[in-house]
Amino acid sequence: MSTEKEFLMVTARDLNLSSCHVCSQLSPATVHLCPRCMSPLHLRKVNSIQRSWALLITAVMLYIPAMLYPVTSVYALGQVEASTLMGSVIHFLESGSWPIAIVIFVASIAVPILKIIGLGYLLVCVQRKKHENRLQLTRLYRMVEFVGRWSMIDVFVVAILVALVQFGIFINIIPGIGIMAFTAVVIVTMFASMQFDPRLIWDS
Amino acid sequence: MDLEKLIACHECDLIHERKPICEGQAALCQRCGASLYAEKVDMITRTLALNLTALILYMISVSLPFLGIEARGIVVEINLFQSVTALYKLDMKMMSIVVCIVLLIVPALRILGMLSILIPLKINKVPPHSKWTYYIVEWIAPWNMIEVFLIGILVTFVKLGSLANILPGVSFWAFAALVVVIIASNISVERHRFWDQLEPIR
Repeated sequence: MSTEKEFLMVTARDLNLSSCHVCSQLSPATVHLCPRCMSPLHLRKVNSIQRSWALLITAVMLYIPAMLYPVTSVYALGQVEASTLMGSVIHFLESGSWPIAIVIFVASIAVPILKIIGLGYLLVCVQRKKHENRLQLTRLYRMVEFVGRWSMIDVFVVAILVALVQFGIFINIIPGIGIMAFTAVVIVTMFASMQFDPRLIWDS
Repeated sequence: MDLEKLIACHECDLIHERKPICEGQAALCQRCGASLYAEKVDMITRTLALNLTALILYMISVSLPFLGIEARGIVVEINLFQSVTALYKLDMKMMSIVVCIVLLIVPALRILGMLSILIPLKINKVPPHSKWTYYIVEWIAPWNMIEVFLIGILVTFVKLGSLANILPGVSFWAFAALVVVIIASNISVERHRFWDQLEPIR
């Protein structure tokens, strides 16, 4: 039984085959263009770890202004009220609409932080060649991939708010630096997780 | 070794033998559980139908009034384009470009790209541009964020609810339907089997 299992656990890399990222066609590692879909072939994504780290660190740096600077400034009746991401969560909590507070908290604060930590953890594990719980790491990778796009909620909220209110009835809403930095965080983390190659988790 | 009979898991690189599976079934990697390939029911026909529906809904969504805001008896209506142009006018150019791409351009490219492959496939022709078109369609797929936008609208409803009345316009409902249809069309197509359609494995 054990010999059969070992026989089954052969990877494409063991056979010196590269699997096309685009169409899954297998080719010998000496071929550099997929014969089926003409996309470039690699055994693993090129410089996956370095690129992921670079983008991840960029995201961490952008996250600081995203949290500190106001996301929107509301001009109403001669007063200016600027609110940050965390500020709008607290505002919703205080005004009693806690379902929305939870949505914004999860999408704009919890998801980006967990995504950055999760991807950082994956990268550290791959670099230190920790291979005890590969299946959990793969699941973590899938979560990081799935969850990232949902952080865009707040960006869209600002876009709609600004458009609706711009035709100035009695209030005026101006987007702040915070939301620009936050948009960049979401995009950069999405690129970072795309650069990560989950097959590195399984390479021994 | 016959390479066409083998497939490597795209998440853990384990080699599997391709075996025919029944309609509606999926082949999973035995080590990490990722989907290797799946046999969708009526893949080409269903995806074509859903993409045609999506095209119609998309055209309605962008052309008719999207949301109205009513305060002190005045109603102002905006369409989807204005959520992009308003940001641009306020000098948030980077943000308006991002919103424009993930909300308007990517969905349109996906629908048109898929239709340009699916309509010829339906009459048993493989168009010469199909490979690079499908390559682009797959590459831009993660940037299609209209379902996230829909949740954003719901949050805005609550946010402005105390200040003004928000009235969903005709195209809001078309847009909500578009989200459902696009998700359905993403589920109805399977990448590996679709590539096999473009160049059958011998």
